[in-house]
Amino acid sequence: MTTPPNLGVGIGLRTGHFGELLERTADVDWFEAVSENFLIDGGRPLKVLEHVRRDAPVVLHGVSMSIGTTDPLDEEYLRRLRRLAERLEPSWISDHLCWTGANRHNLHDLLPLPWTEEVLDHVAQRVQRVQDFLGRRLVLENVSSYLQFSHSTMTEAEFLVALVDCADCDILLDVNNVYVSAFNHRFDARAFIDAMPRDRVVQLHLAGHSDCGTHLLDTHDAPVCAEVWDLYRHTITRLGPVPTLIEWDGNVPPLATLEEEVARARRIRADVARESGVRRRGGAGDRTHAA
Amino acid sequence: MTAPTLRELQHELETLFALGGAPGYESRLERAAPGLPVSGDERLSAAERISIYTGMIFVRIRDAIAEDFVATRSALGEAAWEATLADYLRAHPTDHPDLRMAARFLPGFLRDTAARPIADLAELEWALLDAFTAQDTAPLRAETLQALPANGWPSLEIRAVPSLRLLEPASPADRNRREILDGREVTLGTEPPFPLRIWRRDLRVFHKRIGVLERDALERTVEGISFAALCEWLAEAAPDRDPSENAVELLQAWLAEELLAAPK
Repeated sequence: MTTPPNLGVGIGLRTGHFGELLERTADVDWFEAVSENFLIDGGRPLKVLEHVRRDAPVVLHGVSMSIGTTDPLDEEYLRRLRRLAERLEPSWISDHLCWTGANRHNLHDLLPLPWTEEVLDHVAQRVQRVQDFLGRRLVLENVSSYLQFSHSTMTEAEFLVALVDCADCDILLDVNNVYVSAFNHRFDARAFIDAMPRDRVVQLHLAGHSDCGTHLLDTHDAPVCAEVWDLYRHTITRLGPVPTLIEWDGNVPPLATLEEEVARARRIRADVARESGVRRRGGAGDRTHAA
Repeated sequence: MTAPTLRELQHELETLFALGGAPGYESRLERAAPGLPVSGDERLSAAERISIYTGMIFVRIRDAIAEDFVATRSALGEAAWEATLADYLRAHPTDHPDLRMAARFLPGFLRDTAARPIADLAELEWALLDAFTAQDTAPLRAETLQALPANGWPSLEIRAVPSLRLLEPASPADRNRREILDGREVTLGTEPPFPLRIWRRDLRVFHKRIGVLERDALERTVEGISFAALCEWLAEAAPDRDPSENAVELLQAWLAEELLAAPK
């Protein structure tokens, strides 16, 4: 399994932008497509996806694999996903560290798991089966959560690190989700990010959320807030210039607004690269001076 | 208290989450919450945290369906739409990874529970969506037929494009939908059933009222039929006309509207 490429800053491929994307090249480095929207037989969505794929890398991001459910893996879903991947050659395939249904029902929400050894074994086995089936590493994203289980024996960050070790998968670190969950469960967002293994985080997500007073809700319907941009700066300082995706799913704005968010992420990445270069040069200078 | 297994926990939570919008949810939650290993705090109790998910799940599925059934929703009215969807989702919990497929049983559900014009609208909106993502195929072109030798005609396979859908509404669903989308007042009445074909031409979906003979002929093209067999069938179905002329007339119309798939 090869090291994923560094793609730069991308955006999610959304229906509202299809017309514009067929007419002009967006000023973004890559696109993320929600896998389930393209597990179809034909028509405009697939045409648009293939069109953007001609000029830019594409990543497939699923919301229904339900890697944490105790229901059996959906083999038909995996077959369709593999077919789509063969057609598109995405840079990687991601989904969420969660369950999305049980009793053979799909609730279409990213539901939290208890962080226990039992769940770790269960999820690790399923990740390995999916990876064997797809012939590539799976990339799993931390989700925003609004409840925690009292019988958890480890933190979410500890669970994620352990899962990567057990299952040999990679991480999509959603910086906004870390921020949202940190508020909702009162943990230190920076400590969560610092705990992530640098060589296994292959993608970052940035998105907007809503403040409900008692809790934050991961709504993806607003610009990235200042606190999440700060956390992003911390993340890439700590993990390096990991490929980053701006997510916007509700009240989707014009493409130009997303391009502005991409530009902002690029500026932060350039700042961090410059600062770390200065630090490296400064360190060398100090040593030279001391000598 | 022993912690439940992951399976027990998920089954209990799924049952609760799926009750979104249903009467009896609150009492079920009140009974179940104390036994679930969910942490609460001074900001939100365990039950309130569970209910965040319950509310979001219902709203997400409801809103996704509403996006694809704009006319049906408008014709029903907001309160009836909301109640209908709650009933529908209890009768047909989603079981498909694609959220859009959550609505695939809605037209049938409305056929049993709503007035016929409402069910017709839903059936039309679902067919339009279904055709939109149907399998791509190259259309059969007039040039292909022109190049066909005379002895190739009898065995020529006439096959509809995979996006073809045939409906038989008993209300002017096509006109009602157009008027609703245009923001006009609509009186939902019934009329004698008529055939309606829906198909995709390149990336755009169309619909058109057709005659019974064309509907019956198109039904035969879904699985594929040879030109000779089509002529034979037309001779029986429309004995007052020359079957070859009839077939050629239908073929010309279908070719012009890209309703037929190129031979594989």
